[in-house]
Amino acid sequence: MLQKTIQAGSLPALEAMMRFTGQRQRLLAHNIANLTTPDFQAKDVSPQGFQEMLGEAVAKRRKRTGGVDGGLDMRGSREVKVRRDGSLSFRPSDSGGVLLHDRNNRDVERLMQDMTENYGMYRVANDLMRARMGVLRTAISQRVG
Amino acid sequence: MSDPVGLIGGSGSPLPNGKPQGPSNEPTDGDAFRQALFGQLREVSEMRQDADKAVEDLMTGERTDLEGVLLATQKADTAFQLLQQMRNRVMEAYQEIQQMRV
Amino acid sequence: MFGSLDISTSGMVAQRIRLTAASANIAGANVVEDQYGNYAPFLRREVMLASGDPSATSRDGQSLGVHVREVYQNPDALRARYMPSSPHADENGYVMGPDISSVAEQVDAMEASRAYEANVAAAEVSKAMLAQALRLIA
Repeated sequence: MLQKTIQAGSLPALEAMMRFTGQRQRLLAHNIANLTTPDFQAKDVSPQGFQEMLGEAVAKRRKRTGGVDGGLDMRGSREVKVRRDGSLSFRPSDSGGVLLHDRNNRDVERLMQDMTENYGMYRVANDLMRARMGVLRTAISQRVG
Repeated sequence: MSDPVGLIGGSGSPLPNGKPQGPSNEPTDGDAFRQALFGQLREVSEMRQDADKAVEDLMTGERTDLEGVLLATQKADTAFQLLQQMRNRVMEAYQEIQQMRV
Repeated sequence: MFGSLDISTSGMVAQRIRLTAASANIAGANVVEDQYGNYAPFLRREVMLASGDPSATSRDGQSLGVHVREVYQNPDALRARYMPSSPHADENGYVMGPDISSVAEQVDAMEASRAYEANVAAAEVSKAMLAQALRLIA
């Protein structure tokens, strides 16, 4: 029953997103720190790929329990492996696949944008999880205000 | 649950067959309260499930409107807290009645 | 959720390319030959912008925003310059050299730089709006 309470509603999805964005932040900071390093190849994991994987797991969970409780069963992708305890291990690929004629110029702005978006998503997941946990705690304590 | 404009049923508004529509099987006061309470419970539960679904869709990229999701969660949480308060008041009233010396 | 950030970033990239083109034009304003001494006048670089950014990840970024369609090297931006001592001069002493006005290019550079700042400001506003929305659940 404890497990069901902790995995209620949207909490597993929020936890997964928090793990992903938290780990990706380190990757992006590494890329930005090496902006002027010669022969440095920036690497990244695709957030769209992770969201697809998360979407599949959420759909499976909804079919299984109606989305009310239960853990997420993520199958993992080439870039993101999911361990048993839910933690993730990254295998980042080279970012910037197609070599555009202005690739050198766009790296700075795109890197900053990636970092901003990643942090934004982390904040959203974090705040939503805190709100959801707050409601849970209110329900458990049975006293409001 | 409230009906300020008198649109639901109501005495005196005639049906096509001419008979005034009066409340026929009026439930007793206790029953009405119970039905009202369970109706509220269902509503709040649905709102919370909708909010959870909205949050999950935001995480998986199905939805991109953060504002809509936040409003849905706020509504659900507020409704839940209102329900909690109602429950607390009912419990207090019940305990007060229990302690009454007859 | 981050469509507006995509749009601002595409704007920044486009303005930076305009700035680069203006700098290149200023630097090559008097160049008539290449490194081997052949006649190769510097052609004025003109940045062609188009709306939409096909390389953006969000739908908003792909349909809105801006991208550089091409950096056009204008072959007609030439005018006759009086250089009688140049080995490429014609019988009157004129060489067809680049028709680039440094002042005009500098104005372009300033405009591009201001536009870059404006895009950065727009991105900051987007971030602030996101933070405000999150205060709903604080």
